[in-house]
Amino acid sequence: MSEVMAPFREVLADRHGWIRRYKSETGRRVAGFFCDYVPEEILWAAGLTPIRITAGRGNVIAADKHLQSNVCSFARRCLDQALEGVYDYLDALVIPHTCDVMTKMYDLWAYRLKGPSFIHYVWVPHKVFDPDAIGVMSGELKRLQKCLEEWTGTPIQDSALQEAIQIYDRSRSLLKRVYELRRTNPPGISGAEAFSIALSALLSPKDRFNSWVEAFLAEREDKPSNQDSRPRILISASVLDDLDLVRAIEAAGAWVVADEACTGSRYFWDLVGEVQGNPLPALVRRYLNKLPCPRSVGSLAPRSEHLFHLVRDYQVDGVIFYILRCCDAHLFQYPILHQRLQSAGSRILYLQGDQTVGINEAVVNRIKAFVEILQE
Amino acid sequence: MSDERHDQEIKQANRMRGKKHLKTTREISQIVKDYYAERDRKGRHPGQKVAWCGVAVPKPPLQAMEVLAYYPEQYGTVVATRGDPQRFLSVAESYGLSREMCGYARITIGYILEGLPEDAPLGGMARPDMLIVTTAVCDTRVKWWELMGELLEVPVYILEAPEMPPPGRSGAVISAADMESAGIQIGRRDAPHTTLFAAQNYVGLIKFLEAQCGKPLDQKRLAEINQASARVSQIRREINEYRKAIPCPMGSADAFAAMFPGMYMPGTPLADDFYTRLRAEVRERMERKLGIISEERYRLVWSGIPFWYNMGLLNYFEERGGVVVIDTAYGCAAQRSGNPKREPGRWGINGMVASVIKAVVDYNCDGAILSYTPTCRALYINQLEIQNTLREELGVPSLLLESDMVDASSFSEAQTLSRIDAFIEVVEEKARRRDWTPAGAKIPE
Repeated sequence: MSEVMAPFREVLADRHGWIRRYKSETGRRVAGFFCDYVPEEILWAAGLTPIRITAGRGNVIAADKHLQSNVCSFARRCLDQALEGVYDYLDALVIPHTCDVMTKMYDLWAYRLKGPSFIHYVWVPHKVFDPDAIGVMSGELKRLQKCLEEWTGTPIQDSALQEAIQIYDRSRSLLKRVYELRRTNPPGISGAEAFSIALSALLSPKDRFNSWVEAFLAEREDKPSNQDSRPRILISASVLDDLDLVRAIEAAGAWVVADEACTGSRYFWDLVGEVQGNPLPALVRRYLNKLPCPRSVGSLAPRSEHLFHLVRDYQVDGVIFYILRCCDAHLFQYPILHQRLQSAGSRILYLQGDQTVGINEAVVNRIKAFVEILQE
Repeated sequence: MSDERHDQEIKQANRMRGKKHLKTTREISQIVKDYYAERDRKGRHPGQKVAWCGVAVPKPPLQAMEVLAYYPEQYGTVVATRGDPQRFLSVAESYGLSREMCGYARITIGYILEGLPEDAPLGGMARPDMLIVTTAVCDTRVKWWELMGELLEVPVYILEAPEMPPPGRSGAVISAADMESAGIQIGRRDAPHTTLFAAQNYVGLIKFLEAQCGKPLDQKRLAEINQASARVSQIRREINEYRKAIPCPMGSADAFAAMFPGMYMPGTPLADDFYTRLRAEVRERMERKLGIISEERYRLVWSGIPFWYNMGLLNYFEERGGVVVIDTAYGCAAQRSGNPKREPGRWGINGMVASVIKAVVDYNCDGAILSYTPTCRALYINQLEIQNTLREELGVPSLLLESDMVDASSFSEAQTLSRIDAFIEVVEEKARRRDWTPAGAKIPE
């Protein structure tokens, strides 16, 4: 296996161990955050290394005392790990209002857990495309900045924010180039490779991540594909923070060539762009106008457009919806997206996601049957 | 007869209808019928518009604009109690909405997909010209309303209400004058932009209504309705104050029925008249020490939505020596009265949890019934934390009762009653050994 994949493999093999080691080597403070609506640039500019809180897969035991099973398995797993001390290395935590469950995650984490010492809630408007949303989002980002400054005792300079934006936009551009490699038929890289890189972006410091991706692209960009031709699949997921599903699909004889997930393309697709002077308005614009989570008002049209764009540009044969059980925002938009994609000729498979179990045999069999249909 | 149909009939036969104890609350059934009969009036007022609104959308502007408002959540309860919810639930399921989603939403979407049939319970809701919902309490409704907007092809207004968690890490903060039973905190002092955004959204709602109705809002009329609405809320608070009395003059079996005018037509003379008479009746019962049952051995609080198809559950406690004296889901809490021997150290993770803890203290309750509808995350996500906090802070037992609010097929009566029986034993024992003195009700002048 290619050496340029090694750093991503290392991060994903032991995501918590990796960041603990990084922390002790560098002395940098680590900030956890949920979802893709927390402007990590502000955290980075405050001298913190932001990493996404992920659920992985496994049992839920400790969290069952606080959250019933009608809450999505992502939230229950995250809380469970927090209660078990998995996230003890965090110095700070920022939780956005993306859905009722995330708000409760803040309530529980703040009340039931001793750490981390800095915990902050960002209220994100539902009406992200409403002109009035700019004011409230600006207020919330300024409040985050102010609270961080008080906690660290150091003001965040515009220049530090500008630098953070450059680093983050560089990551986004690099990730887009990685995804571009899958537009060809057959794809230049596998879905497992691409998604390993995308997941590593959530779990590692962006300066190091950028150098890893640059090395990867130097070796793999502009090289003819040596892969075989297979059915091409797009995953639309509520949240997907491990490689199990992608691997299962590729093991069934297809390529995962694109995704519409908050841990994948939705996370990095939109840039902040050139910034001069005060960087905050640019950040506000980016986080309000980015490819939306379905929780946002007016998100159906841009999601639909993004899906159609991916289906066309990445020559997608089939779409797999992997929606976590009880993720209402995704579940309400699913029937319409299904209808639209099906009318346009896409084949569709719906899988109910559950992070308390692995991709089991029943799911694998359904994927195999789907891939067989696509091969016909 | 198919097995499914047979099962359905058995369930219908087992359905426990709630028994109301007060004269005034028995009028509610007719009030609800008349409300739905108003659909026939549509068209009598030239240009009158119909809106489907989410619960907690401010009613006075709608009333001032003479908008005929229907509430899909409320209509979900109508279908659950008066019709065959499976008719619409199965249509929604075929469309692609899974069973883990909100029952009210699935009923409404099924009703829309069926083409708003005339033979729906109470004639159904009139076809809307617009849809309005607020983000308060429940995010799911935002998606539900947007989906209805897509299916009905009518404009949707989303009224943002930035809900903020308690500051710091000690959970909810309760003030002496706190009267918000639902415990929802819109905006926060250290985030004034959230309060401003809520205000901008209210202005946006007015503009939306004006555009849809094609006429300006009559501010004088709005002020009158606001005043009338505030008066109704005050009367409801007084009624809830009387419910603190021992024995309890009005329990939740009556209160759940009685919430309709206050929730859906608060600024109207009908609501004012209804609650004025109800208040008189409850007050008279309190003064005569006439309780729901003759000997009140234990007192309970109900958290969450009741099982509308089985309101008799509330009476079941009465047959066994207890009364559900207060419920926290529908607002208009009385003033804090407290009890020096029962003040908790912490009130729980947020205001919604605190509202139940507060009710237990203020209403001298010995236990809590926590209804739990797995299809509803917004209201029920706190239930375990309510249970934890009651146990940790007050040593008060609680019972989680699981069932869907509209889908009777999820309800097992025998299992539920046997769990209730076991719970009653625990609560009665606790009540016998109370180490606190119940506080009396404050009688407003």
